[in-house]
Amino acid sequence: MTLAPSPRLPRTVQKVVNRLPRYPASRAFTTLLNFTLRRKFPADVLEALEDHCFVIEAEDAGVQLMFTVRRKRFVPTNTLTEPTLHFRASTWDYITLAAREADPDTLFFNRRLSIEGDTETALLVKNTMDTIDIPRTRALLKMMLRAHSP
Amino acid sequence: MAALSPQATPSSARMRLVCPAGTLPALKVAVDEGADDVYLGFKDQTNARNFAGLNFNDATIREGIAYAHRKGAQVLIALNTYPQPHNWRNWRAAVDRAAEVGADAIIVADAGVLRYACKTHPNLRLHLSVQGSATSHEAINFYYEHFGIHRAVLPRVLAVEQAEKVIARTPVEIEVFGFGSLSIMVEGRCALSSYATGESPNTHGGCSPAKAIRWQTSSAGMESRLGGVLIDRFADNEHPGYPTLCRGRFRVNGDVYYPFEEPTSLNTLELLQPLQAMGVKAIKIEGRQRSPAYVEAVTRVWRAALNHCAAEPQHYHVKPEWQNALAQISEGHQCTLGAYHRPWR
Ligand code: SF4
Repeated sequence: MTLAPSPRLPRTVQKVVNRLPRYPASRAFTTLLNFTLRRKFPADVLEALEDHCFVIEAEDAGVQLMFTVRRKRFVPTNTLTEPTLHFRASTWDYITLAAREADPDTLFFNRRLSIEGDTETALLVKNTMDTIDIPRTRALLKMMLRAHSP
Repeated sequence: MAALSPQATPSSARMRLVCPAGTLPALKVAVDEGADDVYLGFKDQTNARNFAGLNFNDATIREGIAYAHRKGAQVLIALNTYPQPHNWRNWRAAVDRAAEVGADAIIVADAGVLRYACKTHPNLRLHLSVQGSATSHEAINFYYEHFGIHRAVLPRVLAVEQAEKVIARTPVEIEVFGFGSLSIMVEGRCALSSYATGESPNTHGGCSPAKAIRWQTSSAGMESRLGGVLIDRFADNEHPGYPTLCRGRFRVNGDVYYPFEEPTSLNTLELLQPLQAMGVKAIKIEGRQRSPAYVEAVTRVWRAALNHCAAEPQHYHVKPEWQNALAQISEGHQCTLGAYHRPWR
């Protein structure tokens, strides 16, 4: 069975987001990560992720967020060396994942989430994210999804 | 709440819903959505889902058990792998830990671990794991007589009539798989993963260890490899499954196909009424490796189905919205009844 296609970003939003330079977007994203998630990540996991490079790509928005972990903080990076993990999905699917409305394996089976790179690290990231409770952020994201669901 | 029909199933004959939890949030949603039992494992090779970042430490287990007990659910700890002589102590310590944190039962496969548990912790309830591979009443009764097991999980290789015969001939509660990814081989004895990686679920706690898996996209499609062995290659319109050898597509005598089995998911919603009538005590949902979103969706559907089946067994039917919800989160293109309805034995 195939999932219903996820809504794409409206064209106008796509155009605006497309113009955002990559590095500042990655910087904004890592600031958000440090603010909301860093303290909830177990220290041994942050240690295991140290110096690994991650790319999160939202294809519909034309955005690539690139970052690494240094001294247990998420920091933006510009390096184009091969990342440890490269995620690709639509903006909508990333939001449903963050809101825990979607299951990553389901998106993966349906070719809606692609993860390339080191599988062990991918599992570590995925499973650690599953242990993290951020009820207020999730409630907000869920509200957003309801308001925009097709 | 719906009024119970005159034919409603007595509570002693109702089937318990046993749900998976790889993380504390998954345990909580399972309990919130109505699981009767939640099963989980420690962060090591003593259980068959030993994956990075998954499973429980003592603090999260204690919190999980307290949460479940507050809401009337039970927690079962899976210690369902096989120790080797050099690491036997780890399994012994895991049994002690499970007893100490207050697990309601442990799910065990190895006879030595069962013996240790029943001698050292006589009050700790024992369930025989599916990994124990006991498919006959003689085997199950052996474990009952020697270790006093309370429940046995039937391997996913029996047809419905065979399960019924087992149930009629044992005092042990019988749990069967209801939903989830299929592991097609005789559980506890499959060494396919060892063949490609040197590690199997039976001894190391994971089929297809993540460090040996590689996903790669090339012009030919998306490829999955295990220990260098090409497991499958997916065209753009094809759906990948877990990269285990049993789900691999190989060239055999010139033809490329799935020689073992296509990646499918088991779904026995259709069989709930006969399973209940024959005396099955519990229905197990697979998927400790899946996210809380999966656990929430599956538990919700199965709770509704089991309630419906218990309240009105004569009128039980599978609602399309249940099938739809389950199909969305399944591995593979289709849900099957697995061996329950296989013509060959
Ligand atoms: S190879 Fe398949 S049948 Fe064998 S243990 Fe792994 S998942 Fe189960």
